[in-house]
Amino acid sequence: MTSFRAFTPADLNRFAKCNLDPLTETYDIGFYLQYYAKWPSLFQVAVDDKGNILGYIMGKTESSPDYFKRSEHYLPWHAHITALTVAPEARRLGIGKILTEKLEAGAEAADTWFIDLFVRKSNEKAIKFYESMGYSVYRVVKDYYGDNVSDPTANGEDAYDMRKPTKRDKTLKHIRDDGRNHEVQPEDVF
Amino acid sequence: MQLDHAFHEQQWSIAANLARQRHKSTKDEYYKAVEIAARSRGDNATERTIGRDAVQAMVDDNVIVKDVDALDLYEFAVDGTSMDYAKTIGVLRVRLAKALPKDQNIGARCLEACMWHSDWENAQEIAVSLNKNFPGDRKLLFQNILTTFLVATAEATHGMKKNLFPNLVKAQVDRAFNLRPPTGKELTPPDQIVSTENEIKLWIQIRQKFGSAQENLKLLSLPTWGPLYFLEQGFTDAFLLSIRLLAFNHQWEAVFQVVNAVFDKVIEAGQGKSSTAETGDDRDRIGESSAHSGLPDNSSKSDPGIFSDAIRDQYMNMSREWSLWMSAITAIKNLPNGQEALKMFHRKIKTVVRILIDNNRMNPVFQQNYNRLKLDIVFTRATISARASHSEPGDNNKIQRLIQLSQEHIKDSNCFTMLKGYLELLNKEEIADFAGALKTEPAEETKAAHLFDTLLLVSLKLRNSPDCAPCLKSITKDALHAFFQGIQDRDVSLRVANVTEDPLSNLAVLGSICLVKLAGAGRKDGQYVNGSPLYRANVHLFLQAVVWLDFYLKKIPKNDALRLLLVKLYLMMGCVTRALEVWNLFDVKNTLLECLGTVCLDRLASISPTHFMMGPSYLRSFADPFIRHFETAIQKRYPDTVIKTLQNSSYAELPYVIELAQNQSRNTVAVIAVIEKRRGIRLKSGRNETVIEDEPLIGLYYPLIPRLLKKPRLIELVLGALSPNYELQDFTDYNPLPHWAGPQSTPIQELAACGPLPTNRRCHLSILAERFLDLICFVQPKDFKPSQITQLLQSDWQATASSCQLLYRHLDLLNYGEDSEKNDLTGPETWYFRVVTELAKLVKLIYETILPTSSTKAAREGIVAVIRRSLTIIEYQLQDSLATSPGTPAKMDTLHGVTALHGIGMLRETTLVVRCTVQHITATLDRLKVIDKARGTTEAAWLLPETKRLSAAAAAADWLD
Ligand SMILES: CC(C)(COP(=O)(O)OP(=O)(O)OC[C@H]1O[C@@H](n2cnc3c(N)ncnc32)[C@H](O)[C@@H]1OP(=O)(O)O)[C@@H](O)C(=O)NCCC(=O)NCCS
Repeated sequence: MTSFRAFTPADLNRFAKCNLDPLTETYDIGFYLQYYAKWPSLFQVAVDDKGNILGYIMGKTESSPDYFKRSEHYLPWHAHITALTVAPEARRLGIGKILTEKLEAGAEAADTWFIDLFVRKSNEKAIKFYESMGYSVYRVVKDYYGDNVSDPTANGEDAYDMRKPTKRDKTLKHIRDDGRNHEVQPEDVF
Repeated sequence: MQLDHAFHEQQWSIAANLARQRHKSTKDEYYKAVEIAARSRGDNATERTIGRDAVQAMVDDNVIVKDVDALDLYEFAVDGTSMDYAKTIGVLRVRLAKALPKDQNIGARCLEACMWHSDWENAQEIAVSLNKNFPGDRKLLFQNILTTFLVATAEATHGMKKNLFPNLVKAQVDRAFNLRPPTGKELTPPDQIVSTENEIKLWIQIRQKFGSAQENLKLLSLPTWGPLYFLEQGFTDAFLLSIRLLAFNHQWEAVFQVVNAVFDKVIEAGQGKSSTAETGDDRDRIGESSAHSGLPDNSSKSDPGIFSDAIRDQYMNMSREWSLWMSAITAIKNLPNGQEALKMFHRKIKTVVRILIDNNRMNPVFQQNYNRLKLDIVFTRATISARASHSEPGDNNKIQRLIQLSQEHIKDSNCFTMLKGYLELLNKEEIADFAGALKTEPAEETKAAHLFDTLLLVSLKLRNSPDCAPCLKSITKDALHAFFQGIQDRDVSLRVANVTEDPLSNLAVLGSICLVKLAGAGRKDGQYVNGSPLYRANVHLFLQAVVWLDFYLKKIPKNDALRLLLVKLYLMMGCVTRALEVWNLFDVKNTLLECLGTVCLDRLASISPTHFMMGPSYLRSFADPFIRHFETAIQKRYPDTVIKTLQNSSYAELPYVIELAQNQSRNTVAVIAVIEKRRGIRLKSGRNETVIEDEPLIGLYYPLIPRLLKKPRLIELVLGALSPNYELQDFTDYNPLPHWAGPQSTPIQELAACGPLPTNRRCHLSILAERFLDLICFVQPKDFKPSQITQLLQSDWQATASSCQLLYRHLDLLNYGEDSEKNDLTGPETWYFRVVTELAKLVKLIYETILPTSSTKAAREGIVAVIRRSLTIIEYQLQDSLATSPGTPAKMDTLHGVTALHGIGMLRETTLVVRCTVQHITATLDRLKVIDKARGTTEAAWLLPETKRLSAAAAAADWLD
């Protein structure tokens, strides 16, 4: 079985099932703890009856810093998905979807304009997943990732910056239909 | 400017001079602090304590440092010395905050500084002062509540605070939500209080810790409070936690009511859309349920069908949560009228699920949960009726439901994992029934399904049969047969390549486990002898297991459990290079080291010291990432996170952050990393690297979290400061290893291991052995030429004698005390720790009985007896290492050699500690000769021939190596 609840630090000792997967990055402990301390309600997990973490989502709310204010790339108050992963054995059951919905509820509660995330251009599964959840590409960040999963000789890999509007954005002013044609450089994104 | 520059460039003497001048001309206290900070950081060793002395004097003389920047500098000046923050800087922080009560900024800085150092008591005093001086600020109120809670729960709190604070904090937090009668001093009118979920979560925590069950129930039943109220506000976490609190308090009636109420709301909402006969039926029962309610319905009282979309969503989403269902099931099991309650629950959940499906909210994961819930209902019904001892015949359809569930999920990769939990609840007859039914059920046409059936049957057999050779053999045969059929079938092979937990890899894992068991590896009696887990094992069978797994790994390298098992098996047979190759496929780093590290790191130094050497080709040893991880986690990430929770008002999160740090500081893998690294380095180099510093922390024990200002390296913390009474714990996550065996058989992590799992006793024994080595290997620096040599030597002897006395006492207790029955050491480890214990006793006796005055006959006899005992133990250890394993055929002697590596490694440890002890004794006698030539010569004359026997024994063992 699977149940859903907020993350607690003890879960870090039980997330091997997710993080042994090569597509899931394992960070320094401070990274997870920082999200936990700042945005506890945006850090949600799915657990099985043995206490194993089967999936988690970790996110934050923010806007670009003030010195970015005049830039065309300035981001207003929004929520960001920093990590989302579901253990390989538990995929295609809707766990990713529920976790994302929970984060979205937090984003609505915080009155943000949209939810966004970065995903490797080659990660088709994840892109399909986000599209099924109503996200669309807003812009392409060139060589955002230092390495390239599908082509080790390449310098890096592009990221899609994907977005979904919240209820606040009634006119969809923060969404683009032709996002795949908008390319930006890594230094343009905050 | 100049001063700033010099300070930041760490030109300490220049900075100190400039600051002194500045202080003279301005009389500004700040510059005094700059000077002191600069001088205590400088190269001049005699000035290092200047900050310490200044701070101590200010504390003693009741001085108030009124400049917060100056106080920061004093804190910086004493950083790195072993002062207790709470008794020094913490005190100055409180004085400052209270002296400038209207400066919120300074108060906050002082509060954070204390929090950073886990100094809750002083933090609480500051928080109280801030709260008092800015009474309208809700954040400050909650900082006060939070710090009071921390002091109330801290282990270190004693006396008045321990008694009063629990009630104080309950009163504070209740008032914060207007849950107690007003005192008349409230600043915010009760109806204007806006509370956040974080605040409510803290309230629940405090209530869970200090509130009585009755009190808690009463409060949770108040209007505009309690679980349903929280849920309607969108505080789902608080909702779940409040149910947990009720369950914690055994308020089963109330728990059941809440779940019922949630279901009723969903049914109510569903009726707005479609109205079915069942929902009508349920409406009648709703009245029935709230009639004997222990918990008044504190949800919003709107007419059915017209409560807001947002609230409806909350109820709908919550009604599908597994944890909610499980709290209902647990409550039902504990209710006097369980049978009725279960019926009602069952009826309602069916309706709820239909509504969820109608509303597109029943994702597969919830459907899966629901299928399991149906099974749980059947099992619960069986339990309840068995308890009531009037079991209705035909009611118990457990087996039927299980078969149904297995068919519904036969294609799911985790089908077996799911069923396993239930199979564990069945007795032997029931399992036999199940297996029988499974065989006769017409299997689906697909081959993959057939494979799953076989897998299930095979694993059932494994679970259910004792570890007897004929059973294991037949299971292995079945598994191998099915495996080869699958492998040869292209269709099946292709199909399994796409699923993560494919039946073929599971069959391989299952079969190998049987082979390892059949081989008799890891048997306790064998281990005890020479430390080889393959001693007495049938190596042929063992190797077959390895070959099988490795064959499949090369084909489809996806199954994590298979890979981890293979790592363990390779380590058992001493093939460290291949083991690490497979291990490295996982890219275990950062936080994962903590969960899984033990699997690979434990006892590695004794098997392969090379992995701990540093040199041009190895920039860091295998243990270094672990050490770095724990060092930063405990000493930097933890206090940083404490501050961040405070700044972000994440009150309820802070206790969990503290708990994490405490658990990290008692994690056996942190200790193992330090021990393995030191052993590895010296096994290779033959020398011990000592870490004793000018100011040893022995005796000043404290948990590893940074209560002290001193921030030494992990290695110093573990060896210098960890008290033998501080309980260490193995937090390793063994779940990713295969879990197929039945409840009675040895778990894989114990079966496939180079020895027993880490324990508190083993880790503390290892630490004490390291401390002993440090003590006897410590040599005064060459340029150390004190003037009053006699006096100095005598105080040195006294200090060593008392350290040895302490070490010996702890070693003796751990070796022979109540825990010694635990069988948690390998044979060679047992001998090694016993030798160390005897040697500690030997050194202690020498310092106590022959150095201060001429030795008596009795003293000499005592010492000789200890030496003899040590010799006997070394002899045992040596014999064990020489014993050839009866399980190894003659032509496989090389393999025997590598599997015995651990034993040989520990033997080398023994010879090293013996040699160092003898050297130490000789050097000590030499020093005795310096101050009293005659006595020194006399004592050496009888003692040295005895210690020579020790050296000889060590040399004999070395020769073997
Ligand atoms: C992306 C990921 C989180 C999806 O999790 P999940 O729990 O399997 O997803 P869900 O079951 O909730 O899928 C919801 C919908 O997304 C779409 N989707 C998900 N995985 C898909 C796939 N592999 N191919 C096509 N569509 C997919 C489907 O529309 C699916 O609905 P359906 O199953 O009813 O068809 C998971 O695949 C994962 O952890 N990947 C590795 C880590 C990663 O890439 N994270 C994203 C980095 S930004």
